[in-house]
Amino acid sequence: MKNNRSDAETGRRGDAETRHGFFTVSPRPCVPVSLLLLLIGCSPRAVVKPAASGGRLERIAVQALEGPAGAEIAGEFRSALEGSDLRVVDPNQKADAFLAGSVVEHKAGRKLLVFLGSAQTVSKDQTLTASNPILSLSGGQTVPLTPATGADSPRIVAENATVGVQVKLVDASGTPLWAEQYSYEALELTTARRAVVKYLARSLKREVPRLRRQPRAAGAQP
Amino acid sequence: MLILFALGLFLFSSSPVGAVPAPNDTAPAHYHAGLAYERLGRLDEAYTQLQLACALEPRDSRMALALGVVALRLGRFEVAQRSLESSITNDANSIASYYELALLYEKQQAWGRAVDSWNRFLELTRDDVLKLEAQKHIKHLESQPP
Repeated sequence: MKNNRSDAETGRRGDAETRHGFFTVSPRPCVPVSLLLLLIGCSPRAVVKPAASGGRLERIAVQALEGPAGAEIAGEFRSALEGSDLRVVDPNQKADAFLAGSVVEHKAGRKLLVFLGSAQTVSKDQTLTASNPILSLSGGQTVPLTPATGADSPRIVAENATVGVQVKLVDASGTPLWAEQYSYEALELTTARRAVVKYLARSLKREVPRLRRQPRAAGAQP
Repeated sequence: MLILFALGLFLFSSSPVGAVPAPNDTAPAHYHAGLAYERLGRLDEAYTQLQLACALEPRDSRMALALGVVALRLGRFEVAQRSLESSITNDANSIASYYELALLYEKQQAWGRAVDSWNRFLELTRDDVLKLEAQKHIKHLESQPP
């Protein structure tokens, strides 16, 4: 029972795995109908009027994303999708599909360490000198650095902003149609956010013609 | 007596209270004072000291880079750009300067310059995480309008 429930909860995501690889559970067709109906009934999407649209994909509702600045980013998605052949409608209006997701990273101060001066690295028996190297604090440097002068090298901290977003498009029955994630670093949060939204919106627009060609009945797996 | 009292009062009022002792008026002294203020999180003071250092030693790449980094954190983008560009003029291999300049050019939507800076950064850096980051930026920027 526990397994069945897990499938039901994650089944919507499963299709995304085959295309994008960041969800880990695959859908199984043997979900008890009653449990599925219960879950659909309890989900926030229940407030949205589903469109019995078959494979049609014209009207899309962008829901507020979970996480920091989720509402703001959803607003940017609406703006980014306007001007495309998708009609962006209010989340409580009738729509063919819904864009939802979460903000997984929204950090103004991603720290990087800047070494001021020369530093030496040894790689394949070769000593290399790097001038004013910058290091991620997540351990990306494969070779340790030592100051070329032998003295303690002065350091300074650079701070940048990072934004990461996961989004998925589901149809009116909750079937996943598309999913994607992207993160970006910039000097400011607004620049990073704009880049993330632009990338994801472009990716979705590219996918729309394929989704429209894909035959599916409302409420059925694509 | 009155003159001495007035002189004492003048000297007392003109000395900064609670500040790091004024460094010798040399570029290295201002530079190290600036870095010390940066470590304390007192970025405005760090900025002032690093500006003095750069004014006294305009050909030092490290000082220009330090000023550029602090100016970016304070949102003083024009000063940051001048300092970072000066840093790579004086040292064409200054890795961090290319990284921060690339981000600054992106903010200014100077896509071509940003791509050039990322490419140069890629040639120089040995940090695998930041290499991936740079490649991602280049890919993103290549889709931007010219």
